[in-house]
Amino acid sequence: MDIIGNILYDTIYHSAPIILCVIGGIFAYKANVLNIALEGMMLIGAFVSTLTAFMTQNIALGVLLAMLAALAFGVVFSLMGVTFKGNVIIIGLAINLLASAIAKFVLVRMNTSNITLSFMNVADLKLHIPVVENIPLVGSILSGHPLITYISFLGIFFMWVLMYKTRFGIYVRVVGENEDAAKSIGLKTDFYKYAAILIGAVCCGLAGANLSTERLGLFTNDMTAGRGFIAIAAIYCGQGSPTLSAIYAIVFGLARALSVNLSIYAGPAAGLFDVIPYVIMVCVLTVVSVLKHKNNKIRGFKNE
Amino acid sequence: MSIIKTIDLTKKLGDFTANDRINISVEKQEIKCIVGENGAGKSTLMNMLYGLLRPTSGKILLHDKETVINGPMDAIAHGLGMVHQHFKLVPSLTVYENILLGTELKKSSKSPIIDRKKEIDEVTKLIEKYKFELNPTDKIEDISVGGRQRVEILKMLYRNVDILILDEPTAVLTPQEVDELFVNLKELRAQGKTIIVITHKLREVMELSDSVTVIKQGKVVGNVLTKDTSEEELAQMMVGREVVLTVQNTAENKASEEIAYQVENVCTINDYGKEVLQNISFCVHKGEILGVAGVEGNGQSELVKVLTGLMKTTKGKVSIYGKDVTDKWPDELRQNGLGIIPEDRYAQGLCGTMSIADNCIAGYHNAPDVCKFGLLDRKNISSKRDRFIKDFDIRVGDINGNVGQLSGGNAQKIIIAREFESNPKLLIACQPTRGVDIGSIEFIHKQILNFRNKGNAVLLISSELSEVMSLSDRIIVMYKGRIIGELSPKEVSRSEIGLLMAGIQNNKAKGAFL
Repeated sequence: MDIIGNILYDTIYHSAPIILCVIGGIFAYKANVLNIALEGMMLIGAFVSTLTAFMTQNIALGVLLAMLAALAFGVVFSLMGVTFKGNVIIIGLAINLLASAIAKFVLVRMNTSNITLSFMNVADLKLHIPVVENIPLVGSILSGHPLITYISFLGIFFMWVLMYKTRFGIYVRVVGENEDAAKSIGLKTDFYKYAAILIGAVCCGLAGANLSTERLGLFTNDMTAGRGFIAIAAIYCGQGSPTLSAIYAIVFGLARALSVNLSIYAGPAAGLFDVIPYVIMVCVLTVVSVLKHKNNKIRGFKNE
Repeated sequence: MSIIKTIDLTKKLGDFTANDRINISVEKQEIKCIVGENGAGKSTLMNMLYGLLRPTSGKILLHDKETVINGPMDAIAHGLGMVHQHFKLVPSLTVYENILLGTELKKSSKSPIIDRKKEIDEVTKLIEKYKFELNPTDKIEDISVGGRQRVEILKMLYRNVDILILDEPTAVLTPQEVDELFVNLKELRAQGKTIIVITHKLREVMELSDSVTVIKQGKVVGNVLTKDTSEEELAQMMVGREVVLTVQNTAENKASEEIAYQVENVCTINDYGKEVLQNISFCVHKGEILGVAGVEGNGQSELVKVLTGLMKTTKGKVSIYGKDVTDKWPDELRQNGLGIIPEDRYAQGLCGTMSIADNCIAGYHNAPDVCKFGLLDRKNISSKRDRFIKDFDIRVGDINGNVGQLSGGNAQKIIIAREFESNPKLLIACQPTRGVDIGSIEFIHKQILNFRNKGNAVLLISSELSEVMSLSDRIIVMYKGRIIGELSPKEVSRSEIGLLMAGIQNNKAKGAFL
């Protein structure tokens, strides 16, 4: 029983950063901008939050600066990709490499391989929800997560409202679906693309802060370990719907929870279980794409 | 008093003068048609009126006041609305969402949430006011092309424009939808709107407009009242010489009994698993042109894709002179004597960034006269190109240039030359004259008839009903992925075929079908 409880708790725990990336990234997806820089934005968020907290011993400031750092990356991405119409794949790749390089450079200069926040105890950051906490099983699964984890789940609903119930959401979708239509009613299409990318950037920064500072009190380089790309996979599988994409994010969270919890029993082969999330990702993508194309009768390239 | 007037309006795009001192004037509450061939400069003119392009020189007067229009929103603010040829609608949104796009109604001025109910009410009122036929909550992707066009018009009317510009509004409509559009436009005129229609369909000009302006090579060459002119006169002004408007299929039907092309019970599905072709069966005899009529989007595209090897069938059989060619790839089909004029010449027929010579042999790279020991024989290819240019009267600026630089008509002639020169026994011609100027249309139609007269078979698929009617020996009509009637063009009228295209089977057509 314990292990199931642990797996479910860890599912929520590990889903949070992916969900944040997903609900932020869907706006760029809907605006028809392929943002592969989610990974880099998350990494820079993780790094800046831990570094700031390490130097100022102020976690809130760390989270804030993490979002600002990711936002800055978002501005660079939009400027090059939207204003100057550069190739978004190359720009995204550059940003991913840059984030990792900055972190590595600073770590080397600090003469350390990771930043540890020794002034605080991550257990203190966990919120215990009254009443819920005391319900057996459910309490131990739902309660005791850090603040940003709760924000990520509430964010799903918030982003759904923003996407489907407000002008802003409609305009982002119009820009992505038919840019000419948007222009013909005088929408500043670049503005909506910027906004969509920047929402994603801020969410990624938050995800990074959650990943490093809030959950572990620790930063090691490349600790995002492909979560940004997993988020992109979730967005594509869920076709940019906030709820559906978030469900895929949770599936990938579950995969990581499985890998963490099962590896305990694996003894010397424990490291092997680290591949579970990635194997599941490949399987999910395969299944989704097979289902999507099972009816395809068109040969070769499709003319869209 | 004229409501809109241009004085010496000129637009230069680089060295090219797209519009040269255009002077037009439109009266209040009239329907004005602006006609001209493709590339004559009609769209440039309209884009200047709508603020999408800045004039190089000249003036635009609105209500006799000089006005500078800085983009579409500004145009709308001045009471000038435009319905583009390619609709600017968002398919996944509903009719009411599209109409109110940009002016959404919120629950209150402070609330960020959109008020769905209020929006639907507003649009329902609008639809009733102008007597349009629409359901506000339908999604755009689910409604007909005619419906989409009505949404575009309403989108402008909601913004209180009093001048409406329509760019090639009938290009994608059935004859019945065209009639309905005309009724709607005349109703709008009665309610005080001024309408400018850009078109090259002269029959519709005569039916709809009060006055006509003809543009040729960027200049106004004629300004007439509709009641004082005729189709022939307008055509002559457009082209600058006398043209045969419709090349008639005058030859006696000498189709033999021998079946050249047989299609039996062909079915296929699209990406979403929907059956887009249902049991399509027909045959084409030797020396016969079989026309396929129908409103676009009723399976013709898929049929052509299946027959030209771009898409697989789920069921059925296709044979050329008795030889089974079902699901064969395009090169195998060509080896079996099939010539293909594809639907979208730039996507499937030509490579715009390659030279004219390369395009002249596309699909026939392995023919022995151009390819020796796996190497292309450049000299032969060039002489082939020169022969095509001479024989098919292809007008090229730079003989070594890319196909992308050619006009639609000349690009199409390259395909025609290439396919006819490979001596096929069967030709599938899909939209052979789409986006082609009147002079070239005449030429292409004659080529197709000549080809038939040599005893070959032709399958002609076109959404231009007049083209199908004037060329075909027999016509089949497609509706929702099925063939719902077979007719003889000599025995039926336009409106009878139009009804079939709209899915309404009358007794006559049924009789012919059964």
